[in-house]
Amino acid sequence: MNAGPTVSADAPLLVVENLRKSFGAHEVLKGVSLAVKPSQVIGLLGRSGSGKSTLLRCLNMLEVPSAGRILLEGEEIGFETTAGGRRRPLSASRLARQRASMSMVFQHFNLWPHRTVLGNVIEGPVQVLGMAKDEAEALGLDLLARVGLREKAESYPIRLSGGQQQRVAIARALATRPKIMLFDEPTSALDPELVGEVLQVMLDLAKSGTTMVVVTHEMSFARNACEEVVLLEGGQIVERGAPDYVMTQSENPRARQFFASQRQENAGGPA
Amino acid sequence: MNYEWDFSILTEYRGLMLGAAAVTFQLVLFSVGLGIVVGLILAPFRMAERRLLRYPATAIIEVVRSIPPLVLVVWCYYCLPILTGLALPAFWTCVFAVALYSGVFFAEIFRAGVQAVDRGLVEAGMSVGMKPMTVMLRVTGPLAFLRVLPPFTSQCVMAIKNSVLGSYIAVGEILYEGQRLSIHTFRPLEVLTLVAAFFVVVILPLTLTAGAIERHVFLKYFRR
Ligand SMILES: Nc1ncnc2c1ncn2[C@@H]1O[C@H](COP(=O)(O)OP(=O)(O)O)[C@@H](O)[C@H]1O
Ligand SMILES: [Mg+2]
Repeated sequence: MNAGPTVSADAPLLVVENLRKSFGAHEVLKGVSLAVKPSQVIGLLGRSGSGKSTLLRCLNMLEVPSAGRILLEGEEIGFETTAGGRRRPLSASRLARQRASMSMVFQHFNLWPHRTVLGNVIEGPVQVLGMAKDEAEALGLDLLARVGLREKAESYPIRLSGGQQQRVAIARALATRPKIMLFDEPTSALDPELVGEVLQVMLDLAKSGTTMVVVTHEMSFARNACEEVVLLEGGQIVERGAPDYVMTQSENPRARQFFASQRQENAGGPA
Repeated sequence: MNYEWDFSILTEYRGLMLGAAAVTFQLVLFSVGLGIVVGLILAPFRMAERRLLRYPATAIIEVVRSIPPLVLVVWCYYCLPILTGLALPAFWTCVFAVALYSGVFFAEIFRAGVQAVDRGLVEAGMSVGMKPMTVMLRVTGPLAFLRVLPPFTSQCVMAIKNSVLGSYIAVGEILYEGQRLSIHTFRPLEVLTLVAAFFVVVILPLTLTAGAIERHVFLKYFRR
């Protein structure tokens, strides 16, 4: 289906090379490198302001990196190299195509209020992939069933709870059949009693082999769903590895401090 | 006040007044339609990141907006032909002047609407792979329009009312013919009351409908 470069089975799906991003004089990402293998789930952890969202938003070019490269299945995101060897930004329509294969789920859901739940889900397939409307609707209803919201297909987003809205947003993100899913604190805007239903959907996705990069403060999710977690601090990766190692065994003082403060927050009960 | 109303002259001259009303309708149709087009063209330039595109649009908007509409109509009628050598009929001069005048306001309304759309909704469009134009047509445009429905309606009403400026350059619209008729028949009260009532009858249903749509939209999409 995809005419891009072919890649062997355990080669990384997504490669991030020495990514840097500055806003004016403020350097927010200071050289971040990552590799995500197919079906892998990576957790991005770190304090507020450490650059997690910026990193995620650079991956699909919602922010244009100042330096570094991002490769999806070997194809550079957002840039092309001309025959003469010059690197230049991709045209808007080719960048849009690339974005369709790396869907994003946002902290604040960002469902379109003027479209029904099903309308939100089929928008990508119809407008971007050019799928016929009835085919897209069948797909949309399937995806809504998968997140447990088939009966809400004709409702408008405003009639749904936060947890339901986020599950619709996940269905919408799945609808373009992305190669990788990017989650930016998908449960942070939710009331505590609604967090579970969203995490459950994400856990199911992880189990079914979806490649995911997840920014989260949910330590239990990071531990149960992620193959690898990455701790970001001041725009740099300060620790990485298996969740158990990073969270409990790492000797890295910054990692120890971060996870100690997280445990304290959790022990302190609901905020 | 012992004035004796005599509306019979209105039936007597109804052909004349109906014709004038038809001219007003045409004026309104062309000038509002064209005004919206002008707004749709100016707004993206006004919002452009590149100064080369933004500054001219801003200049046009600020200049036109500060000229009283009557001055604009009269100026276009008497001065433009001298400057350009191009003389348009009074009707079209009025259409273009009113369209330009409302157009700059439409442009500002559309701009405000687009800028009020939640950035996250735009990014959601981009991240499912929509091209910029698709985002504009499917997300930003509709949401901006829903937002600006009230000022948009007011501006339409304003543009409709501005059609009477044509009377200053002898366009045979309703105020022009009404004034001539009232002088001819010595019945200004009846005739000019009719002219006023005409606008109420045209505009009131419009604003009421817009209000109803607005409430419907709000309840359906935005209120919990
Ligand atoms: N568009 C922007 N313009 C300027 N500064 C920004 C912008 N976005 C993020 N930042 C800054 O970058 C830093 C990292 O932000 P962010 O990536 O949102 O962190 P996190 O998601 O880890 O909380 C913060 O200091 C923030 O103020
Ligand atoms: Mg963030």
